[in-house]
Amino acid sequence: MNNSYIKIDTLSKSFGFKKVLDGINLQFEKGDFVTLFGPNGAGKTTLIRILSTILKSDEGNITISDYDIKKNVSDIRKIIGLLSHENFLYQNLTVTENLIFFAKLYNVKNSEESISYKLNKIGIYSKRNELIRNLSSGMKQRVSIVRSLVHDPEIIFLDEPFVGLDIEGSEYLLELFSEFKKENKTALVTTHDLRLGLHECTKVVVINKGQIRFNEIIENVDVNSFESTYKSLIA
Amino acid sequence: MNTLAAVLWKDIINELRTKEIVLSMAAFSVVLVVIFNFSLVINRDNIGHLVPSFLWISIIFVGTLGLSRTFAIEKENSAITGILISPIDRSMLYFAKVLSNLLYVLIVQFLLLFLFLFMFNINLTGNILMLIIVMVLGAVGFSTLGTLFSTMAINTKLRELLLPVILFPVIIPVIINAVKATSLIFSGGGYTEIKPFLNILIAFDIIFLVTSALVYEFVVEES
Amino acid sequence: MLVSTYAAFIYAPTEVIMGHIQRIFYFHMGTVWVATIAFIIVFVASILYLINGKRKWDVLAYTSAELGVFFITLTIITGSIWAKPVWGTWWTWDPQLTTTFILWILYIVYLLIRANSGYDEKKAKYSAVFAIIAFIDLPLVYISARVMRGISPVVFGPGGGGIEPKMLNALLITLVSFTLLFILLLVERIKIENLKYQINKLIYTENN
Repeated sequence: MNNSYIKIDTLSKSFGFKKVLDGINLQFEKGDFVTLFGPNGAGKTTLIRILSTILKSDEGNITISDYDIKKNVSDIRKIIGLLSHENFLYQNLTVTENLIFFAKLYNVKNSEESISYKLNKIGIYSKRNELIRNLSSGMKQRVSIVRSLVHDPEIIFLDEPFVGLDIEGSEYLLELFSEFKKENKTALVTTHDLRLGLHECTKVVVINKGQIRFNEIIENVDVNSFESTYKSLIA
Repeated sequence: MNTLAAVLWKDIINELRTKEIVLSMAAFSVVLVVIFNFSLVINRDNIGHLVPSFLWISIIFVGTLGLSRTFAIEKENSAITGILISPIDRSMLYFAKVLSNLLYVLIVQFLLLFLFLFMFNINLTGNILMLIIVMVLGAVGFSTLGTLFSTMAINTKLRELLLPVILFPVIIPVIINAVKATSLIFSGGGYTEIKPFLNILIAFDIIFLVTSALVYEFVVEES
Repeated sequence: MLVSTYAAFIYAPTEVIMGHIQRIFYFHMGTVWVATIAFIIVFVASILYLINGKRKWDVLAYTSAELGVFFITLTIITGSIWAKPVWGTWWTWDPQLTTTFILWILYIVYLLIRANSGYDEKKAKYSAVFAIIAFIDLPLVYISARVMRGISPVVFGPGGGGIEPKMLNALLITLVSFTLLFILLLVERIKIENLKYQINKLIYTENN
């Protein structure tokens, strides 16, 4: 038995000859709030896609909550959520229809009530019967936040969640982050916005060219000088 | 099973709201039948052979048009990714997509049948129940591989262009047997005459429903 | 050693196709036999690829499909040449010919999918799926073609009855030599494919 909640062991992935991830080793505990920094093309998104089971790795092992990603993938899928800069919503369905549909995929019973509650919280309850195609991109992203939480996942992966989100929406998201921490949920956020990224996190990881360059708990990170540290890491 | 119903329900709501798939299929059907009516010289001798052939050719053409669209909806906003991160079984997703494709094909198929009967002044005298069975079996066969290959085609460089190229040669057994059975029914053939064709259609439907469900994950998931 | 095996293979078929027009039959049988083996390999290798995702199975399926298409093209050409004097026509739509023709198209489509599916893994997966479906489809095509012509759907009828021992020997020699030729070509083709892969990899690392 391994003790870590999420354990990534010598993970590698190539697209053609391009090695996107090269021997990644990471371990996170339950309740960790990890921020993953890195420039474009560093492999952040690929790592998130592999962790959220939509992409298969070439080499290496991943276990999440003691489930092996190769053997018990559907057990993992039940407890993870994914929020990306793409919103994964159907254009011609209303907000509520979309959310009820995704809730049904997770066999969530009586989802309407909790959906209304979550919509209310994120400030778009009044838009619940609008078609997605008629919403602004900031609004769509807020709906997508509710979509990723529709089954109350234990672990949430957020791939550039602030992209396309308005200021008000970003504040809601940061509020949500602190709530995650209270509920002892685990989150992994990728971003290249240093200010937003360091806001609630407990762990900081920097990835560049498919390799881990920095992996520290927040107590060991000097937040004020982190920008120059980061720049030297990705140079 | 719940998840299958959910995906199907979502597709139907989407289609009821936009009507884009069935309407464009229906419009294409009308155009095709009118063109055939202008270009074919039909008389009592060849009607039994020509009409079933052209009916099934039309079904395949119009059906292919719809197939490309049903999966394109999933690609908008990458909505399919939202489905793929959920614990839904990939074969369930496949069956749901087969059912929604089948629904569109069936609607247009019977519209086409009606158009052919109407435009070519045919009095349908054969066994109508038998005809319905043949048409449904043919539509199922078309939808099984159609769903699999449309998912595949949309993820390639050629997109919709590749679909007829890969789909048509493989569904030749469906076309041959459906055309033969339909023309036998038109000429008043009974169950015993049609049975061999029906058997092959049933075999085709079952074999490819099972095989496609097994391999669907390799086509729908990214690599 | 390579040279001597090559000589033997090139020598053996030339011996057979010389002379009488009917002798093309051996060549015809040789190519169809090898093509059948090739397509069975494509089918099995494709299944194995989908199961474990190893590149070698994809290379085997691809190279074998390429050779299969080459040999089945020869089958169709030699068959037509043979059929012209014997049946008085280049081509008929009897069940066997129909099936062969569709088989030929299916594997050309297979190569087309490979050419248009983007990067390596996707290409390998999609073509493997298509290869499996196409292979399962062929018996159905054959049965359909039989039923269409009003022949009861027996899967395989017996071939010609009385065949002379000498002809049988010639046939067996042809089949063996064609099989060996096929294996040789396949091995060489796989080597070329692997070299190509190495070269592309070198070019890639050179550029980055």
